[in-house]
Amino acid sequence: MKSPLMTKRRNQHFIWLGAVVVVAVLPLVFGDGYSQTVILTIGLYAIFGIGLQLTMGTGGILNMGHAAFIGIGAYSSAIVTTKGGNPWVGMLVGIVVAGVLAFVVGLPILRLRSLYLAIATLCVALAVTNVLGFWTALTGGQNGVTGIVPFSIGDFSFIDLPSQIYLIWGFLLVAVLIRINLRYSVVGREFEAIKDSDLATSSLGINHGARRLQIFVIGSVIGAVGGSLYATYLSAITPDLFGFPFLIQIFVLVALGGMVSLWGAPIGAIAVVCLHEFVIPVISGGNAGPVEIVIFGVILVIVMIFAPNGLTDQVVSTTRRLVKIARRRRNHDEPSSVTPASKKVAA
Amino acid sequence: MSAPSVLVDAALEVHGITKSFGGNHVLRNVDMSVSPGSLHFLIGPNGAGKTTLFNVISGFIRADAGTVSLFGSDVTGERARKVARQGLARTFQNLQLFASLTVAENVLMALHGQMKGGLPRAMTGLFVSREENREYERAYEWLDRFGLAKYASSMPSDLSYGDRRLVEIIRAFASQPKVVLLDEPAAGLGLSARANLFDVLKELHAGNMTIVLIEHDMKFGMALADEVTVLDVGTRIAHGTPAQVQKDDAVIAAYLGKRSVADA
Ligand SMILES: Nc1ncnc2c1ncn2[C@@H]1O[C@H](COP(=O)(O)OP(=O)(O)OP(=O)(O)O)[C@@H](O)[C@H]1O
Ligand SMILES: [Mg+2]
Repeated sequence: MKSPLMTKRRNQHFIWLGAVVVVAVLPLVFGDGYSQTVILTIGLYAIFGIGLQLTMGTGGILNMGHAAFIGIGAYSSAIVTTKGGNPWVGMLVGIVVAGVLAFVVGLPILRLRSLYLAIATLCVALAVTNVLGFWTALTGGQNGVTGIVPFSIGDFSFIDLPSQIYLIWGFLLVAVLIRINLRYSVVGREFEAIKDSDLATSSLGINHGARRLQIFVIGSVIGAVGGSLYATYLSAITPDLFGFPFLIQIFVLVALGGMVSLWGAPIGAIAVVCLHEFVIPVISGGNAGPVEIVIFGVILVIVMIFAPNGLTDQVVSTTRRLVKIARRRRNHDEPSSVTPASKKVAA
Repeated sequence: MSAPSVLVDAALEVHGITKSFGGNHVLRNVDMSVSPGSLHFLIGPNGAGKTTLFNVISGFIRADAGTVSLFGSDVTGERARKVARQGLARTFQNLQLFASLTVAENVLMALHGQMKGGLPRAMTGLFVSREENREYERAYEWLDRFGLAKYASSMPSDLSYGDRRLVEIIRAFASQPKVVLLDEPAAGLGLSARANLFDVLKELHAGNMTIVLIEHDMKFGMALADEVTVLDVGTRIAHGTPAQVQKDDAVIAAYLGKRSVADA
C-alpha cells in the first residue's frame, strides 16, 4: 500500500523547487530599487506572519504579543552589532532572548484561555515595548538605535538590495519548510487533533500544555529572526516600529492569508504590503498613517466575522465543499443519461 | 514491566468511589472489579452515574473519595493523559473524532505514544517519514481489519455515523491499551451497524482485551458480557454474571416497569 503521508511529502518537494526558482529570479526580473524594496518587505512580513500563524493558527493561542518578540529580535541585533558584535551573534542573542522569554512567560499564561490569554500576551507586549522605550542606556530610548551592521559571510556583505532579498527570502523559505514539516509530522498532527478534541487527545495520552508551550516558543523565535533581519535591513530602529499599528498589520496579514494554510503567510504578506504601498496612499491622499490603521482595523473585523480562519482558508474550504457537492450531484445524476439543465445549474 | 510481587487478580479495580457535584451525589461508595481479559458490562438507568464513573477512572474528573488501580498500580487522582499512558483507553458517549484529520490519521493518533515525536525531528523533517509510514500502515491495517480501509483517506464527516463510531473504537484499541472503556458505542446506530459493531466487539474481546462496556441495549451487552455491574442513582445495587444479575430483585426494581432486565 502506498501511504498518503508519503505522497503528500512528494508533492511538496515539487512546489518547493518552484518556490526556490521564483525567489532566485525575483530580483533579476524586478530591477528597480522600489520594486526590490517591496519584494524585500513582503519577505520580511511573511516571516513575521509565519510566527504568528504558528502560535495562533497551529497552537490556537490568541497571541497579541507577537510584535514584541519581533522587537526583541530587532533590538538584539541592533544592540549587539552597534557594540561591535557580529550580526549573526546578534540574531542568535535575539533567538535566545525571545525563546527564553516566550518559555518563561508562556509557562504561566498559556493556562489561560481565549480572551484572558489575549490580554496576558498584550501585557507582555506592553512590558517589552516599555523596556525598549525607556531603558535608555541599553536601547537608546525613544531615539532608538542607528548604525546597525548588516549580515555578512566572510568578505561578502548583504548590503545591497538584491543580496538582502536573497538573505530574507532564504530565511522565509526555511521558515515555510519548518512550517510544512511541522504540519506533516507527529507534532503537527497532534496540534490539529488538540484543536479538534482535547478530550480525545488527553485520552490518548497527549500533553497539550507542553505542545502549546513549544509552539509559542517556536512562533516567537521565528518572529525574532524576522525582527533581526528587519533591523539589519533598516539599519536604524525605534521602539514605536513594534507598537500596536505594526501588530495590527501582522494580524491583517494572517487574517487575509489564513490561520493555517501553509502558504498563507507569503500570500497575506503580499496582500498587506500591496495595500500599504499601492492602495492606501491613493485612498488617504497623503494622510496614510491614521487612515491605514482604520482600514486595516475594518478589514480585520470583517474577515474575523465572515472568515474566522482567514480569507485564504475560507476560499479554499468553500471551493472544496462546492467541488464535493458538485461531484456528488454528478455521481447522483449519472444513471440517467439525460440530465435536466436546471439540475446542472443548481449543482 | 516488572511483575508486581502481589498477585494481581483485577485488571481494573475501583474501590469506594464517591463523587458529588455541588449537592448532587452522583456516585456513592462504588466498587467495581474487572477481571483481566473479561468484558465487563456496566449498566444502570439514565443518570445512574455510569459516565461519571468512566470519567473518574480515566482521570477526567477527580473523585471525592476512593481509589482506582490498573493491574495493581494506583492511578487515583492522576490526570487523563497520565492514566492513558498507563494503558487505559476510552471512547466517549458523544463521539470525539478529530474532524480535521483523515480517518487513518485519527487511528494513527493512537500510535503516537510509540513514535518519536521530538520537536527537532518534526521541524527538520528528518528521519520521521519512514517511521511515520510504518505506523501509518499499522493504522491502515487496523481499518482494514474492520472493513474501513476504503475510508482511510476520507474525512470523518464523509462517513456514516456508525462507521464514525467504529473509527473511534478502533482508535481506542489501536493504542494497544490494557483496558478499554466504551461509553454507549451502539447508541444511535441502525440495526445493521449495530450487528456489525457486535461482531467487532466480539472479535476484539476474543483477542483477550479487557473491556468495560456501558450500553442501554441489554440484549447487546448481556450477549457479550462475562461480568456485570449495576448502578442506580450512584450506588452499586448488584454485580455478578449476566445470569445472576438478570434475576436480581433490586435490579428488576430499578428497571421498574420492565418485566425483566433482559427485555429492557
Ligand atoms: N460535570 C458535571 N457537573 C454536574 N453534574 C454532573 C456532571 N456530570 C454528570 N453530572 C450529573 O451526574 C448524574 C449522572 O450523570 P452520568 O452522565 O454519569 O449518568 P449516566 O449513567 O452516564 O447516564 P446516561 O445513561 O444518561 O448516559 C446526572 O444527574 C448528571 O446531571
Ligand atoms: Mg452516560
